[in-house]
Amino acid sequence: MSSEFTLVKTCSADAFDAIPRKLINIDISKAVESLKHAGYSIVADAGRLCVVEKGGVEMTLYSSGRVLVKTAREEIARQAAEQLYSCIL
Amino acid sequence: MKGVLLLSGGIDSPVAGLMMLDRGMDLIILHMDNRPFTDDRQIEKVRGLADVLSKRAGKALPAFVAPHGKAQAQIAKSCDRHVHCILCRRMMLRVAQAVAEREGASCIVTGESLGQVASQTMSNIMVEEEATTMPMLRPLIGLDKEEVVVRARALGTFPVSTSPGLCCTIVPEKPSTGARLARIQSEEAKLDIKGIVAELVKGTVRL
Repeated sequence: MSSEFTLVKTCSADAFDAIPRKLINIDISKAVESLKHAGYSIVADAGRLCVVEKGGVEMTLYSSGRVLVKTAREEIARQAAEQLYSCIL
Repeated sequence: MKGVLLLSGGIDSPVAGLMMLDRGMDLIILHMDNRPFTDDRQIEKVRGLADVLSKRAGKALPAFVAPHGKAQAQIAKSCDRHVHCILCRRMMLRVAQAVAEREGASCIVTGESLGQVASQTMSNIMVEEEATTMPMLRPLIGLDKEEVVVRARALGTFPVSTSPGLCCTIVPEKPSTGARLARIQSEEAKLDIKGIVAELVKGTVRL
């Protein structure tokens, strides 16, 4: 999946944005169920986005497929985004 | 005169607070905590800004944090995304009024500046203000961003306000700039506003 998203450091925070290279549309309620089964903690389900946590890394998944990963470390962000995408795509 | 300052952690609201302190107003600080739609650093920024304000006031100003993240999720799940920020602002004002009444304050101070962001167009400000019966003071309303930045640098809040921190991640891509009250009220009818406000006020803790 790493070749299918672009990872961008956010300008003002210790976080990275994973942005899918193809246009996708995620059904957040289905994604929440898949992520629960994959062992993610659901921090918040806001309908058009959700916040999940696994392995101490918090991520926000948007219906556009964008994933915001709250970490200062690029490699952790890349791995976390890859794992999350593998559960929902 | 005592007022509740809605302090966000950004550049504008601490400047608004300092301006009101300089006019002799006694302030109570209220931060609406949007985690998990922000990060922990916002709280640290608010703590730092509260320190600057307290030094200016010559005493430790009471500072409170309301757990607004759950309400944000409820708004996002139930309501039209384009008016999310207006519904959020109205929720904040209701909580600010409740805290003000509890703490013996008689007005709400914000860092709004006309037209700066979507929630600060004239029509949106009017719709937002309808949610409170308390007087609202907006000392920055006629300033542009550069003027606010100059004041923030002079007052010493700029480095804290611009330190790293995650901005609100639940903001919609295309927020409404011209909301009408009837539409907002019909969106709010989808929520248990009284219950949410009561829960937020009950969950408010000292910073």
